[in-house]
Amino acid sequence: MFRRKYIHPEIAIGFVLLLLLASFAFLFPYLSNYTYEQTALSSKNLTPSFTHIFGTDDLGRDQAVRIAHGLQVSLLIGLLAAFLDLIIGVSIGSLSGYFGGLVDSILMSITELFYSIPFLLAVLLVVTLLGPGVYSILLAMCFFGWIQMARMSRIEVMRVKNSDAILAAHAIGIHPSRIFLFHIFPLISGSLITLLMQTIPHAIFIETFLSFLGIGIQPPLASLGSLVSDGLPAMRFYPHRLFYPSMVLSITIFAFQLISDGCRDLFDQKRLKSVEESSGI
Amino acid sequence: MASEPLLSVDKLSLSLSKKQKLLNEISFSLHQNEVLSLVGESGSGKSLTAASLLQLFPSPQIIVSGGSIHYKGKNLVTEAKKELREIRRHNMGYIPQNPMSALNPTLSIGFQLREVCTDESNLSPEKALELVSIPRPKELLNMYPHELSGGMQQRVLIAMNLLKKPEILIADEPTTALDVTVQAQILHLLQKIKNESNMSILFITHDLSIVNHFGDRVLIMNKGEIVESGKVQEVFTKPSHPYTQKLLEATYYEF
Repeated sequence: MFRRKYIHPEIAIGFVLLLLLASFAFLFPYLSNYTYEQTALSSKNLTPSFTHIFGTDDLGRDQAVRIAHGLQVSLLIGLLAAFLDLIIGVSIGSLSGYFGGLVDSILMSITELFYSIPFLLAVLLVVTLLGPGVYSILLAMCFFGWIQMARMSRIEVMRVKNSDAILAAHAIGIHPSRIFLFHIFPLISGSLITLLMQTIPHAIFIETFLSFLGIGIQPPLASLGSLVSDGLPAMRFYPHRLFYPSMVLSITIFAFQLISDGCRDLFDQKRLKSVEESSGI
Repeated sequence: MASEPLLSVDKLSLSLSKKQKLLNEISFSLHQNEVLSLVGESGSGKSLTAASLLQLFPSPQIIVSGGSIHYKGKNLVTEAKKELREIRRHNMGYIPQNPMSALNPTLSIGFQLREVCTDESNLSPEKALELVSIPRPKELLNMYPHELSGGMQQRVLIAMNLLKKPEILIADEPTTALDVTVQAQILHLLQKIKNESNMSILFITHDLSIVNHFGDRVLIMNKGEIVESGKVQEVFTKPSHPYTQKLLEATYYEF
């Protein structure tokens, strides 16, 4: 029953941008005549043209296909990491918030413990231990990234569980587990979606950062971070090699930021309340 | 009212962490098909009394420090959680104070009504909404609480209790948040439902004129104690307790 009467402009623009980026990432490699690992030393460092729309790199590989591949990797890692964070964080946080007392103290001390470890340092350590690659990045990120989610869902559950609506649900004798899943969860989903939309670009940033340092995605596979770091030394003579991957990265982050901003607007309790008051309800 | 009471509360005391008493040895009984009004100023423990019948108060903070609530041979104070849930589901209805916050804003009216339906209920949610005189009930099922006015929301809550057909309906100031015309409609509706399905209503209010029209018996509460009880007419014409006298003097209605 989704009957919004208007489309939120920021979310709409963000979604359109994301859709364009995703179709570029997943369709372009099939449409192109080149592959991301096909080298051609005769045509290296070409500037953008009709055959190579983003030019070629120092091994003559088509930059556009490599960016598309890099974007695939970045998007997948961002989405998966955020999703895993969501699952782990929400289960720990909402259990803690719902039961309170001893359960809360124990779970929150564990969370504090994880929080006291510097995030980047820990991720670097895990990736170094497990060896670079997509899976170790994912593992490292969801090992330490769930804390925000846990805190947010704990606070939200605590706020909601004593509300009149939930009390009324208890008063009609619904089973607590059902109350949790069908009555409390929809109430807190707004803030969770907002936080999820902030976590995705953050995860993409971390992945980019790791790849930039050279311990993320390994060649010949590319990610946006490794493409930027490849392009950096060539900045003075072949600026297109730095410019295009950076641009795609920025647009991706921008799209997610737009969506998260829009979500925050949309789900903001205070704003909802003022709308209700002004409409005279 | 010589018959056996449906529900009897016996010397019930509620305390806040063992020091501060919130309810002090209150005793009353509720008979079949009667409206028992509970009157008192803010903070006198009316709502807490209602919550204690359902055993729905913040449990580690507030504790029952004595007394019992008897219902159908069971003591609700010592009953297991599962049994209590069954009683809440089938036997007791509850209309909360503020309809705006009692409905979950993220769930559709239809969903919330279906949550109440049990296997025995022979009404459909649509029919229940029709009974509380809501126009176009079918459309309403797909709407969300914020799309309704306060009076409509209160009707939805009453419709929920119709679906349940409870033996005891606890109405915690159901009309306080509404304006006078809607108030009258809601009260008539409650009266009609009561007579049709033979239920008992514990009606909590601070509006003495409602008590005068609506209640059979009345309990006057002050500072966590029941200071006076009896038939509405008797209490209102010959108040014996000084607090009741003061309460009646404070109103500008003529009884």
